[in-house]
Amino acid sequence: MGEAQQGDAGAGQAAQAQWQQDESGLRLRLSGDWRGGPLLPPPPEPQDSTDPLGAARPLLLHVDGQALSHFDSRLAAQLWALSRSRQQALNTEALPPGLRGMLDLAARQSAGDTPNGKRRPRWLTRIGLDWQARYRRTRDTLAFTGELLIAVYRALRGSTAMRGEDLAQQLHATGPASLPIVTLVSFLVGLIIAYMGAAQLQRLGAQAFMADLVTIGVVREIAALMTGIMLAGRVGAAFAAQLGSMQANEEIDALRALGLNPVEHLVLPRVLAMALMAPLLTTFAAVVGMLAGMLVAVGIFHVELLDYLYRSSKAITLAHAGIGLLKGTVYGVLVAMAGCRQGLHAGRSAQAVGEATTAAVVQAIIWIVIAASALTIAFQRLGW
Amino acid sequence: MVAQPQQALPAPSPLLRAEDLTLAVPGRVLQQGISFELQRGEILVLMGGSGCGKSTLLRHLIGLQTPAAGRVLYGEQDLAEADDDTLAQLRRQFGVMFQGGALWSSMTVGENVMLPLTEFSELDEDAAEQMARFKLALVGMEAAFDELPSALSGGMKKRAAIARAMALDPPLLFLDEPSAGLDPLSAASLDELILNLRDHLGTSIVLVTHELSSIFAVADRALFLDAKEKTMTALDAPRRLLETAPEAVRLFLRRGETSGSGGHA
Repeated sequence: MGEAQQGDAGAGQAAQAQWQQDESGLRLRLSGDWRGGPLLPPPPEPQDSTDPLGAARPLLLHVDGQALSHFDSRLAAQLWALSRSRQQALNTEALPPGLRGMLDLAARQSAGDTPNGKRRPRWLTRIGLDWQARYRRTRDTLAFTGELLIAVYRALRGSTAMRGEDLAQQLHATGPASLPIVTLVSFLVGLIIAYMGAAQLQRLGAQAFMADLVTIGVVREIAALMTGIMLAGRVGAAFAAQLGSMQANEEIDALRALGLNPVEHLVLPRVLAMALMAPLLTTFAAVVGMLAGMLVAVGIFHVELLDYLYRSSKAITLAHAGIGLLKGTVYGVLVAMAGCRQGLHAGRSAQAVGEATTAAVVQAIIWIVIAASALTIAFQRLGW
Repeated sequence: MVAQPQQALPAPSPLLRAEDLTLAVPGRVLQQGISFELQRGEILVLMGGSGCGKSTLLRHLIGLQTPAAGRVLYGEQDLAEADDDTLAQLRRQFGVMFQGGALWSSMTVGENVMLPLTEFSELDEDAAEQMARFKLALVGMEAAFDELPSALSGGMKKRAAIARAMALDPPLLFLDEPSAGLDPLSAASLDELILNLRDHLGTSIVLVTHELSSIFAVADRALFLDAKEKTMTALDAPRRLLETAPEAVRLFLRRGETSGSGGHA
């Protein structure tokens, strides 16, 4: 770090430190070469002096470094730590200019600081803070849902501030861009359902019913569920990351500061895009899933093609198709809401954006599973 | 010194040499014909209007971007031709403060400053914490040791980033707009710190800044990048530039001369 004014004469001397107590207080004498990190010896117990009025006052810690030949920032850091731990200011007048300059600057810059670490709150406080955070999250979610409903209402009345370009961009990102992954997963899931179903039906000699199993299963439940989960991973996460980054860059604050509603500008196009594209993707996934089932039935279990197609067409009813499409739409909207809600309330750091993205996917899947259970029970009760 | 491999920097002066650099982004040349030398213990300020390529030049100097033409030399080592080991060794010899601070958001401020110390020095955990606290104290940030960067203001992040850049006492510091966004007193303290590092530690510093008062307070020489001419149009001590530099540079500096002359030292 530096060397004292006396040149290299003392370079060979070993580092030495000696504590002394004199009338001016505690004094630390340093000499020799302090490069490379030798450690300061622990100081003797502090002795407080009193002023003429009898009030205790902190002593200065005198450091005499006139015999220092060389030093580095490790010595400066040790002297600083010593000063902090004893809560005594350093008297640096007898130090070489380099060391004195650094320590004086640190003292001036840190005037009034209390460098003690943060205290961990007690367990009761932690429970309280945890519940407070849960309450705040629930309140934010309800407020977000309310704002979204108002934005949808304004859009239906034709007075929305949403830009058409934003909606078009989100329609593309949500729909066509999702086709490859939807195709792949739906095909494979259709294949699995057909295989598993056929294995059971074959034991009863009822392979012909494969068409009913695959068609009803895929159209009514599986296509919507798989599409929802894929959208959660692909689109919901992207929504959270986009809005989270905008939050970190203060772009959302800039919208609010201009008097613009971020829900109308950012959330509504994403939710609408998802509401429009999710049923289309669900339909597409159902067709691909049925095709995969047909390939298994005809190619492997030797079901007649025309027989399969006939049974398939008889199995699809308006209720099955409608329920499948409704579920797909509900799941899509929930995914969009989870992504946008987490993104809008993300923190202002890269880590917070990552956490918001993860939370969006987890929340979307939980919401999908809850909605799937509720809808399935409701439709069964209704006899649909 | 905490960082041991000092000898990795080639010995003879100058410390850093840029030879006829051309800086380009895809489809556009930002600057060309940039040549200068940085002497040991010198403070060189890179200045110029917004978008002229100051930060881009700095990225070229630390090897994050490769020049379209020309060379950056540390001693006799061409940065573009250095293999990974040499490049890593060279980079340990300089500290970099990025424009936005670039603190790692998953770590506390203290952990940010301690990471280079625990990775590249032989200090144990306690000694590294002592060093980190001292470096943070130098920039007035010791109280934020346990805070996450997300809890800091923009100016505080910059100060913590300077502490991280100085953690290993590097012989060469690159600071990208360190005083932008700081209050005047903090900016003056920062100038004082920069001068202290130069005067007492012999640190060479390349400073990108718009702050004219800082330029006059700390710079040994200032290099002016002209966005219209797409090249450097001046390189000299700031006060001499006021008399000898082209009109555009003098206009740029004149506003700061009054504030700088009566400002902090």
